[in-house]
Order: sequence, then structure tokens, then C-alpha cells
Amino acid sequence: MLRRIPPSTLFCLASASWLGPAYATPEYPSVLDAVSMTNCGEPAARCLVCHTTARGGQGTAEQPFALELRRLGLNHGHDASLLRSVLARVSDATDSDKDGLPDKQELSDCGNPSGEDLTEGPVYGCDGAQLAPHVASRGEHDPALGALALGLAAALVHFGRRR
Amino acid sequence: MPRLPFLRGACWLWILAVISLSSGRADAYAWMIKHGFSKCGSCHTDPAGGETLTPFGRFQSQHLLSMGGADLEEQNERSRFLFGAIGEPTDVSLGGSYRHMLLYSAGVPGVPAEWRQFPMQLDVYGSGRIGQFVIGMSLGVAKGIEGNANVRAAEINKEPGDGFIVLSRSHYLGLWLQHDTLLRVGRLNLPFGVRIPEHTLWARESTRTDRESDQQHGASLTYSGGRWRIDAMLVLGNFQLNPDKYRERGYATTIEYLLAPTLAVGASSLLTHSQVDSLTRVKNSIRYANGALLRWGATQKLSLLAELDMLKEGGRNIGTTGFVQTDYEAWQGVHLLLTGEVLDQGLLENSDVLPQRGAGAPRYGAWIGIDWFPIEHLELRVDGVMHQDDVFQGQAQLHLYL
Repeated sequence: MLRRIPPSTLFCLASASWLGPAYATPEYPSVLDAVSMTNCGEPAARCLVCHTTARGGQGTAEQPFALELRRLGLNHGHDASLLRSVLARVSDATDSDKDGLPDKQELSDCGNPSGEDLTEGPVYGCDGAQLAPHVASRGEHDPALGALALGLAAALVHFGRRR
Repeated sequence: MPRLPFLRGACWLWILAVISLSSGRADAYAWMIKHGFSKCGSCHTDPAGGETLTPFGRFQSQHLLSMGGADLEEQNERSRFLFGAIGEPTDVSLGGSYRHMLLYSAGVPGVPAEWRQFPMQLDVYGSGRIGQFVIGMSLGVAKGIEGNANVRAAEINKEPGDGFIVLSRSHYLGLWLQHDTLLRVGRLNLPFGVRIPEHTLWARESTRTDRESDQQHGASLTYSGGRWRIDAMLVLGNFQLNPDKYRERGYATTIEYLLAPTLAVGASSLLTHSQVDSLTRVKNSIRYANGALLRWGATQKLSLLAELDMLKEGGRNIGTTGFVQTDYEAWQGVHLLLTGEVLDQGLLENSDVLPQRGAGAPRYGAWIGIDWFPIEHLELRVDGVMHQDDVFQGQAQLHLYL
């Protein structure tokens, strides 16, 4: 069954042993951390300090703090040095979300200067303990899941017999 | 007593499941309609297109996709899995994709241009069939994606930082109810819009229906008979995303009708609800999109794909997205691509934000590219991407597919 493997295939397989950094460079959360001298973690969630979606993107920097940074001169993305300099221009009294706490203090506290503080957010990956929805009682089982399981079982039995 | 072929098939499926460092995303070239292949299931084991190729699809890939393939009178070994190094058993199809991306972002005054390169995809995939039952799966790896909300949705291990993660974009069990009707449960591509490889196209990103990592778990019914192709999915949520409050429940469907052998029109609809939107954190979020699509093979060299969607996200007013893509195959294997796209994701509700391009007002973009298939299993693609209010971006992509 095994035949000669061409060099192109070997190259392709060898590439599996090397993988560099992938996808976008999410540098802005780390700039926020560096300027505020914090280590808040959860960089995907921190995108929401400025963007309306954790995927970021040019057209989604619509949060109050982003509008303030834009007013101070942050007019394009992918520029960590510009973000640093604009953050330095944020005054101590600026309160973008008008919650009574200055933006700088909220950033130092790993809070959210654009509104409600960000919770941990979604966790990715399979986890046996979390894979199924947490249910406190029998009455809270998801009916869609039950119906799907029953329907699939019935279909398997039906077509299994037909064979 | 089970028959020997059954055992052999089961053995291969087991091997597939264990090593199944296979079947990732692969390619769906919706423009193949210009060759009269309106039904995706002719070339793909997924009747809605994408992922693993059928043996017939492998031959067409060599015969119609690659340079010089038109001269072939019959399939040769090089079109097969791993260039024919390993023979696939009957009813088992394997594949894989390696994509490497080189990105150029033009500079702006005071900011130099930037070059970056990274592996974009390293997946293996496959599917197998035993009688009326079918199983399919993809496995891949990625690295250094901390902070990235895209690829993580397909993650199956719990690496939180910048280490390796293992991905499974799709995995399913299916049952052919009839020769043209397939019922599947598992993690599946959402049936919405034109299934294209450009996962960052606004129509795919804003409706969250790309094949990069937007798949969800659920049950789907696919009918592909006569002039109709109907794909309907009950969405139960992405079970690789925790906790449950972030999972979306709802439906996604696409109905396509073949007006002529090379002209198809269709409609798509999607509606989901989540307790908390995983990307925007909007609570009790209802998200929907409805749209129309068109695939037209004008000539053997020229095809046109188009989609226009109305979309509504929790916390935003109604928006619009869409694209038109023309593909001119100057010589076999050399495609000149021109794409125009538009996005208005809707103005934020309850906010003082004024309309801006992309949110409350249309934002336009254009792609111009060359896609070259010099030999079997190899694709080289170069694109220039221009979006309003953004710098020019150049993309060069090497794609090796097994």
C-alpha cells in the first residue's frame, strides 16, 4: 500500500513540525497593560475596552474610551507607539463612561473605562466538566438536546433495520 | 457475523479517528459552477461543499483546476491523497491543507509598513462511509493565538496562552436517508450564503458564517436533488465554547435553485439567541441575517458570485453586507479575481455614537488577486485588499493540499 513519497509531500509534512505565531498581533491589550503597569490577562476580552466585538476590527472601535482616544489623535490601527503616546495624553480626570471613576484608575484596576467591568468571558476548548450545559435540576434540561438525541436514535434504529 | 469489508472499513475509520489529524477546512470553489458543477456534493463528501474531496473531485481538481490538466484523459496517481503514496480504501476519503500567509500592511505617515508571515492553517481531514452511515472529522494545530477570538472557537484543548492548540473545525456523524438527503449531527459549517475560501470577507465575518472557526454544533439536513439544494441546520451552539450562556441556539439555512446548468440563485436565513453574546457581551442577544445569493458561470472562463444580506446583531440597528466576485480564468489554472464588498453592521443602539463607515453607513472594500494552481495539490495566491478607512493590505498565500 505504501508507495514512494514525493519530496513535495515530505515538505508539507515537515512543515507540521514548525509553526510560528499565527493570526493577528493583538498588541493593544499588552500596550494598555504596559502603560498602566498591570497584567490583566484575557487579551481577547480586553479588546472590548475599545471595540464592540472581541474580534476587533477597524470599524468596531466605537466604545466610549476609543472615541476619547480618537479625539486625542488615535486615527488608525496597528500602531502600538501611537497608542502609547495617545494614552499618555489622557488626562487624570477623563471619565469616558461617566461612572465616576477616571479612565486611568479603571485601567490600573483592570477595569473597563468604557462601561461595565468585563468579566472573564468565554473559555475555549473542550472540558468534560463544562461540555454539557450546567443544570441545577431535571426541570432545566435543554429540550432541544433531548429532542435531537431521541430523533437521531429513532432514525438510526429505523434505517438500521431497513438495511 | 460482520462481513470483512465492513471490518476493514471500520478499521480505517478508527485509524481516521485516531490519527485524524485530518480534514480541516479545505476549499470550496463556488465558481466551479461555470464547468456545470452546480452540486457541491459532486466533488466534496460534504454535499454543501468544502472539506474533503471525493475521488471524482480529486480527478476534477487535477483535470479542471490545475494548469495543464485539460490534456489529461484519465486520472493519474498524483491527484490522489498524498500524491498517491498511500491508497485510500474504498469509501474513505482523506485530505489536508497547509496554508502559509505573508501579509503586508502599507505604512501611514509616521508608521512604517509592516510585513508578517505565519502558518494560517495546518489541518488534516477525512470522511468515511459504511453503508448509509457517514463520519467526517477535521483536526489541526495552531500556535500563538493568545488574544485572538477567531481561531479559538475551534479549539479543543485548553491551552490559554501562546502555546500550541489543537483544533477541530468540523466533526460529524451522518445518515443518508435517501441518495440525495443527508442527516448529520456534529460540528458543521453553518449553511449561509456562498461558501467561499475568503474567510475574512465582510459577508462571512459579519454574519459569523466563515469556515475558519464559525462552525457550530447541531443537526443538519441537506437535500441536493433535481434543481434544488437545501441545507437546513438546527444550531445547538458551539460546545467548544464555555460556559453555556455564550452558546447560540437557533437555525441557519440556505436554499438554492438552479435556473440553468450554470446559473443558481438562492436565499439564506439565520437566527440565533444566546444569553450573552460571546464576542460583544450583549446580554440576551438575538442575532439574525437574511440574504440572497447568486452563482453564475457566464462562460467557461468567466464566473460571478454575489451575495447581499441584511443583518441584525444584538445592540445594533439593522445593517447590510454583501459582495460581488468575478473570476476570469485567463489560462487554465490561472484565475484573475476581482471582488467588491460592502459592510454596514448597523448603528449602535442606545449610544451617542454618530454613524460612521461600517457602522450606520456603508463601508466599501475591494480585492484584486491572482490565484494560480501550477500543479496538483498546490495553490499560490496573491491579493491586494483595499478597505475604506484602512491601509492597503497585500496577501500572498501558499496552499498545499493533500
